[in-house]
Amino acid sequence: MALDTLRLVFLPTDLLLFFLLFSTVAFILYARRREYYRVAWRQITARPLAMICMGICLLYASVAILDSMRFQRRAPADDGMGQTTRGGAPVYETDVLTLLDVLCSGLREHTEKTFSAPFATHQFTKETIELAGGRTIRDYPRLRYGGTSLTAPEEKWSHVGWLGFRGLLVGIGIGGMLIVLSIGFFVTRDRVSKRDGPRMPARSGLKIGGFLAVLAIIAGVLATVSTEYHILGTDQVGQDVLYRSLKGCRVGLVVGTLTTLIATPLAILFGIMAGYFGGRIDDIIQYHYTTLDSIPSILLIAAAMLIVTTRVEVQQAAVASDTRLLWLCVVLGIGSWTGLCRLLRGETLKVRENEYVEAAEAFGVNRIEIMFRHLLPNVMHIVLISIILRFSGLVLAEAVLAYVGIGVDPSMESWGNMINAARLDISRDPVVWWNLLAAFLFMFGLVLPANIFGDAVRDALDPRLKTE
Amino acid sequence: MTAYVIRRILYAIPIVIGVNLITFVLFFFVNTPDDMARAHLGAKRVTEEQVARWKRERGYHFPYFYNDGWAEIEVRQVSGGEGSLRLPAQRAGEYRLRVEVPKPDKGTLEVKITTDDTARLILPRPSERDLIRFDVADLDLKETFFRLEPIEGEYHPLALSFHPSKDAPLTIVRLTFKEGRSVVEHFTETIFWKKSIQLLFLRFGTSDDGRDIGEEIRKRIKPSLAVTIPIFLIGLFVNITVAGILAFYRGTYLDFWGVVACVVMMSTSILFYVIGGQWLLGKTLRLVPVSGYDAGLYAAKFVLLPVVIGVIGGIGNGVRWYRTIFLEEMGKDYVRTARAKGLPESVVLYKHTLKNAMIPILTGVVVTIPFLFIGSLVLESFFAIPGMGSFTLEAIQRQDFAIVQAMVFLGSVLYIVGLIMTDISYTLVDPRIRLG
Repeated sequence: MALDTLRLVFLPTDLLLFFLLFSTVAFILYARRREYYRVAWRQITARPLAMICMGICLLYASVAILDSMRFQRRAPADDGMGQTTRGGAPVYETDVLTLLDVLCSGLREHTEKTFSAPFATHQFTKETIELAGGRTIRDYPRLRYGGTSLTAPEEKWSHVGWLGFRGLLVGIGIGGMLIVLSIGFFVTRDRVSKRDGPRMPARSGLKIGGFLAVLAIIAGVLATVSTEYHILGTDQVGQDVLYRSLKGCRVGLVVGTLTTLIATPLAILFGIMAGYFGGRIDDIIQYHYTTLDSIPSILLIAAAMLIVTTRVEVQQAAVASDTRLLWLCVVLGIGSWTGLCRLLRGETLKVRENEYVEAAEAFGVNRIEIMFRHLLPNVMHIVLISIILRFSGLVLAEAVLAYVGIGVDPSMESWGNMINAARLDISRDPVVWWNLLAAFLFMFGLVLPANIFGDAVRDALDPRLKTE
Repeated sequence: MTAYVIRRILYAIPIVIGVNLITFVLFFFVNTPDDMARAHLGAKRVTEEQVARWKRERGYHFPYFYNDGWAEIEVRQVSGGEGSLRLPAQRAGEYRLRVEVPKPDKGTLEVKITTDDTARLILPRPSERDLIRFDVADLDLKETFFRLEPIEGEYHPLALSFHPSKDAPLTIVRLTFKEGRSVVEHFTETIFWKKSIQLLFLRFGTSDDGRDIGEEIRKRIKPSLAVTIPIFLIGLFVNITVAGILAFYRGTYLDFWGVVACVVMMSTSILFYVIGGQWLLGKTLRLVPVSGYDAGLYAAKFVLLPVVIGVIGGIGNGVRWYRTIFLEEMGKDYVRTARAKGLPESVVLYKHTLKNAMIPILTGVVVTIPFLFIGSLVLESFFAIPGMGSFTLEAIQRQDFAIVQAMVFLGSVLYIVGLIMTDISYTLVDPRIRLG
């Protein structure tokens, strides 16, 4: 019976996201044994800024993955066992929650009536309040979850400071433990090996532990303060903006990564085929991608999303919006595989002239095997670079598409939808800025590190393209 | 040179045809005219009659590729109750009555066909006088033919009345007329010809709400260009100048922080610049109007803000890209030679390097020129400029497929024109291509 208290729910994009996670891990295991990638990795680790940026991207990714683990709770019943249908099948609540929702349940449940500014104790708009004596006045009402333990509003900032200090202490405690654990992990795992040059396990442990400790401190402060205040305010329907921004991470990540997951296999297959076989096949493939390429991508996306909108049948709301998200990725992918395809074709043309390809051909290795065993590994760096460099552009594109009305479903939590909704808020008087700023900051906080990390990866994998 | 240009243009023809086919498949196969009609008419409870009328009004009722001569003249949805249909003036000739039952069930449908004394009806079986009986049970399609023959005059009224049995399910009756078609008309009276091939001749037809798309485009091109041309020219100038300065001072703090600023700028969403600019310059400082447009010279004050934002939005990517090109060229031998001759660095940069960097610069730049006509979707809609971008955007929001299809095709053609222009421009800057 205990097993029945939860039911896992998987939407299509969740499954694809997990698949992507799995294949990333598989690729890392593969690349660890290749000297080429080890050298590149050492170059990246030598750049502290790039490593910090990678850490931030991983942080966003973990939020997105937490937000993709969905389940339904068993509907409670009087007997304390949970409801069942007449046939004995368990009944579940209609709300589908994610692990992120559970971790941020405080933020999720602390909803107000409407707008309130960051750290506010009172609502942003006036309302008719009924006093004890039956009299009514128009004033800013107190918030349900904004500094409720305060007796006088003047003490607000010292209260915030005190909460922040408490969070800081907790964060320092956890962070200290993380540093010790991380150093311990690196020192015990270290094997004596001269191949990678001099090793300083304690130092790398300290660095990674230090980064985690900084994160722990920030998280500690945010978590403590947000129990009593809305750090980024609330939106029109009173939802906490910090919570909405965190929820937006998933769509950003999904659009940025799944698009390439969909586009890359096509680009690899056709790019290498065109480059290796040449002749008629090359002509046909070139014709196709040139034709597709000449349709401006924003118009292609517009046309395709317009069609998806009219064709998605009325399903369960969550499934429908997820299907739309998946379609958006597919359409963006179709619009963007041509560039990679062209690059791969060009690179394959060069690689196929190498002696090892000639040797393989002389041994009678079949052409499909040559493509995947000899050509693919030697053009793989281009695929990696293009995936990483395209990521940030896609995250930004999501917001623009949401604004244009051809992005993800308007009911979905995404930064684009937040910006789109906040457009009207900015023209209010006094201005409501926190919605918009939160969405922009979260987006910027992902795109900037992704750009910097992408540059580092490009420089490490392809010295020819180096910009410095 | 002429042969080269002609070859490039010939090479573009299959691509234009390919784009035309893709848009046709996308707009008429993936999304059939029925889907369009349903999307437009909105509600779930749309009758077949409404769909048929919507399609006929917009010319979507033709067959896809081949017109066999049967033209639909009336569609009726009969369910439960009785119905009648009176067609005042019909031509003499052959008619086909087709009955479709989406969900077959028991029941019958009787259709009584009458006409006046000036014409004669010839029904499939002589025994039937004017009553045709369909058994709708277990069948999803049935049809019958009848003829209307004149006694005198050209046109005759035709009246059909439907008598479904009590248990009859929802039934759709389609009345079609056999038109005499010439060989050419078999192919021209089709959706593919009327809606897709016509685009090749830049005839855009009418939008789904009946406006002439070509006329709209002519009207809206000017405001679009008023925004995009200044963005293009100023942006090009600013980007190349800044990139040149960064490349000139390469390796110094100026270069480093310049690149950092570029990365920060390209990581910021264009929406941030737009909303921030509107709020700061338009609302708070009241330097320029927040949005709108006016004809003639008055447009300048409305166009100023979008232009500034368009330029700023492009700086991050642009400067980084030009800087890379400059640095790549500066590592080459001829630059070392020029320096060894004792030429000042500024002459080396702007005379030797810039000239040789023209090829990669042109590759990126010339292609974008035709897109100036398409306008900027985001900027135009934010600043309420009545150009091509906002035209497209409105069409998307109203789900006007005809306009979106026209714009997709136009955009693609402009891109192809851009590619050809790029190739021609190479011949102007690179003698190797001109001679080769």
